[in-house]
Amino acid sequence: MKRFITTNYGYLFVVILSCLVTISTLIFQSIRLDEAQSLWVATKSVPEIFHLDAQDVLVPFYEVLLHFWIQLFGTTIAAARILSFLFFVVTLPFLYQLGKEAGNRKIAIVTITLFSLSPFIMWYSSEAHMYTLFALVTTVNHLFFLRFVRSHGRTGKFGYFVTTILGLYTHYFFILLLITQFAFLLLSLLTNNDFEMGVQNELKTQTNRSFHLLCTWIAILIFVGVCFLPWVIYFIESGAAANTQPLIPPPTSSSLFQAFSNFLLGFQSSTLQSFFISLWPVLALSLFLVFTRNTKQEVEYSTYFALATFLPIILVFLGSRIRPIFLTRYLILVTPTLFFLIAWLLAGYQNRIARLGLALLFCCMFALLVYQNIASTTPVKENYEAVANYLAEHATGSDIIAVSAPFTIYPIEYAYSGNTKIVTIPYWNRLQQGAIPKYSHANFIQQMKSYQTQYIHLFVVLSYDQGYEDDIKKYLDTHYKRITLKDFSPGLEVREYQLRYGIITGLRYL
Amino acid sequence: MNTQHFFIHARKPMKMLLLANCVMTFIYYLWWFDPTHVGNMILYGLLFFGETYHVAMSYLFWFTIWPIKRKVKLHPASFSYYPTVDIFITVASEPLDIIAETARAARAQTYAKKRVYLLNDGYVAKRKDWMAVEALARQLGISCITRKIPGGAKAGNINNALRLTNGEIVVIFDADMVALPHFLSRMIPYFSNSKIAFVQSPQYYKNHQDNAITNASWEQQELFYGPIMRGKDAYNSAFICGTNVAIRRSALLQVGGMVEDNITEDFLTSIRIHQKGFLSLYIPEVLAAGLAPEDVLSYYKQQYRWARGSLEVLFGQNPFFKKGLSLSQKLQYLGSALYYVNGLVVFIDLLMPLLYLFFGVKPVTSSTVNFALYFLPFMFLNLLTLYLSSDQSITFRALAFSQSSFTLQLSALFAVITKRKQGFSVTAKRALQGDFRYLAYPHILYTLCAVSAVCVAVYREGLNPSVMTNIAWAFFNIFMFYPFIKAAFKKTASVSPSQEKWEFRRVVGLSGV
Repeated sequence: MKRFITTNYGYLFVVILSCLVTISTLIFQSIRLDEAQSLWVATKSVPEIFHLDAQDVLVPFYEVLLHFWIQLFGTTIAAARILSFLFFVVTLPFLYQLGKEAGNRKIAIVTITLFSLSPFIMWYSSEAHMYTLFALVTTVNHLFFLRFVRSHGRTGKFGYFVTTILGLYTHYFFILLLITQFAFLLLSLLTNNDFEMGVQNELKTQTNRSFHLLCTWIAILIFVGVCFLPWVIYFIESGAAANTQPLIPPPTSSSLFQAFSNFLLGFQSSTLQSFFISLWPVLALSLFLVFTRNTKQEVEYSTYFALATFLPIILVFLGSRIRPIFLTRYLILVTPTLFFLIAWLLAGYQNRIARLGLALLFCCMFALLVYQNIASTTPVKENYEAVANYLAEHATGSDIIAVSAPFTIYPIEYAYSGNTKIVTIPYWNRLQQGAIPKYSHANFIQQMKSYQTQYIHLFVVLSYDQGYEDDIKKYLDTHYKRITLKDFSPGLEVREYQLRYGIITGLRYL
Repeated sequence: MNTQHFFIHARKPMKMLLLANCVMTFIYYLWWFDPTHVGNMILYGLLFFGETYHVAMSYLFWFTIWPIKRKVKLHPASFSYYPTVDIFITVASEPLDIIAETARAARAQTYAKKRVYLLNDGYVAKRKDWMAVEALARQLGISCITRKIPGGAKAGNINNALRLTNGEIVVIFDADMVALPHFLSRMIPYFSNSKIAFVQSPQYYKNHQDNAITNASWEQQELFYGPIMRGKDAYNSAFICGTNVAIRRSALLQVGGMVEDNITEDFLTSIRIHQKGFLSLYIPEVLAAGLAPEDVLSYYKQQYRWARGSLEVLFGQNPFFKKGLSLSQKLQYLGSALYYVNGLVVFIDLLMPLLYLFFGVKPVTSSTVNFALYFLPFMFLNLLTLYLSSDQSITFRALAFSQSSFTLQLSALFAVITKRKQGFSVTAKRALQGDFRYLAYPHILYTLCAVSAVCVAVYREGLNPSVMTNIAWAFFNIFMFYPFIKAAFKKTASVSPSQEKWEFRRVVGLSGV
């Protein structure tokens, strides 16, 4: 350990620096939608957590863990975020081990440094949601899967079995990893039976081994399926999360580049992001460098790493043609292998230019990590805390606050300390009605009319457009007097409308 | 089951990779047929031409390396077959010590029924010391044929010797090609099959580690003598490479000897031999080693000669329209001849970012990211295939030198189109002393133009995505030129004999034999 620290102090310093930035973020930044939702769910009993998650597009492992965590450390957002940060920290030794077992120590160290410097990873390390847990389970699963393959099914079975179940209970997208692993095993089997002369006997054995491996893997998956089936049944019986999925726009060609730009450089303003993406010919040049390396760093199962990185993205991209599901954060499962691949490719170069390139990449990633956390233009920033403070200052008991999309009520509720009534558009009673009702313009008008007689001002908090935000704005702007309009962070605004003139308000206008 | 295991020894994974390439390239090529992408018509047309060339060359390369078993079956070589062999060492202006080493190696062949000849072209080349070669031959106890009537360059020299000798098999070595003692024992038994016209072995450079030029030359050769020649061999399309080759005299005489009206006499002679229905064989095993060009000028001249010869064949005697060749043979020869059109395509690609940065002219209207979505997978699969098929030996320097050779390729193309006369010049066997920086002036000029263009574009438009993408392309091109510029500016060091060691880095696995 001592030797490891003394020989890699540079890398360790970088990792620690990155962690410090993240810790400051998790302490000082406003609560975000997903966090508020997770915290709200985690405060319920375990059966209720199951019930609420089944009505949403969630699986319950993270919320159950968070439930017990907040029993011990309290319900503050910082305490909840520390759990995610811990998942990130625990991922590092596993990722190191994966890098070392599949490649070598150098690759492993560069991998964990890249992983730690990624503004994307660090963003989710400071978010009280399941993403870093998802990355952790994925990494451990990769490790056991490779041990399982390398030993021809003799070792790693139990670890693989357990992490697969945990993975499925962490995020539905874990299925993509299983598809990748199936593709890899199938490819191994298919490509083993047509080799050149001279190695036929060896390969006959290998074909048998590949077949045996695939069968063992399928057997494990059957057991995994048995363990996951109760949840599937429960999920279907609970309504299969009808209407609760956030509206995701269909991906375009730039979404793919954005995804990789996010993984490496984090969530930057659209100007900065376009700047980086437009430099794509440099990527073409790097392909030349990658495939013409003088120094070869042998990596076992590089095909697997490439598949695990690109296949899930391709599948989600193609799947989004049917139903849009392309969100970069859902694809966090590809990051361990992506960073491993980058580390492998960079570690192949020994000369000064390579070292300079690596140092430049580290500096660039770190600078963007800091910038992402402090810039107000960061697109994933959700300043619900500032909204809550604004509402506490301006809204009174005779006013009403309406939030849309409905699920954004969680962070407002968490941060808001005033006594004004909060409702959602469309109207949603989380505990009685279950899933979010579908938006209907007629119901919305009726809802607004009912408030007209009871309240003086309407504060509308708009974020996470679900396709009807414009409709709401248009109706309110044409039927009520708009008093203020205030932006808080990208895509988050508050509008205040005059519903009727009360005594005090009337006096104000006299 | 690592990548190497997967793709080098396995036929099916390689086929799958090549099929993926074919599909991806087709999808990429379709992008160019979308009329909504057309910006400036002329520039679009030029780019379309360039991409068509790239796509065609890619398909031809995959066709070459498609893992097939030899289509034309060969009888097993008979070791009891024992024909007479004439070894021709072609000499023009090479240093005597180099010739002597080659001659000694030829004399030391373990194969008994052989005669060694120095084919002395010094007299027709008007060298004052031409008689020194005859003296050397006498000293070594071998024959010397000094040509007195000029014409036909190296081919003329060989044809002259053909008239004066009578061995059943003719083996040709350049003056610097030192053969291993078992060269003949390894090559000759294949001639027991009467359909075999020639057997070619690789042209290895023993000085490849001396400097960047020798390195780049060998690295380019490695790709050619590796997957490309192995692939060509499978289609019975391996061609004579001028040296390290054994040719059946009767076959050579049937086509009128070596072709004299082209500076790549070997290439055309091979076509004519194949037209007659003969078989050829490539043995991917280093059996002789020579010297790579050691300075930029020698490299330039050698490449120019090959480019000029190939382009002459392409425009004057296009193999695709030759009778007697199978379709695969036509495609293989066409692919080899087309390679040197690359200079024109590189030139077009170089111009595009400059034109945009200087004048804001766009060849395409689509967003660059949309184009990248098609281009990058195409590029990725292409490079991956090149990497794996070359047994991971392809280097950036080799690709960079190929890219930087656009000047000589353009020059050769211009010479062919204008039918300018060109003599045969032998590649120097020792580093030439002098200042060859001028050969990199076009590349430096491009760099300077690119820097100016960036300033103009940034002043005009700021750092918008289109400007950034074109800056990145200009940077891409400059980065590719860097190894060549660096080599041109480096003083060539003379090579000490201790450095001239035989390092047979690899013996490429026999395939299709």
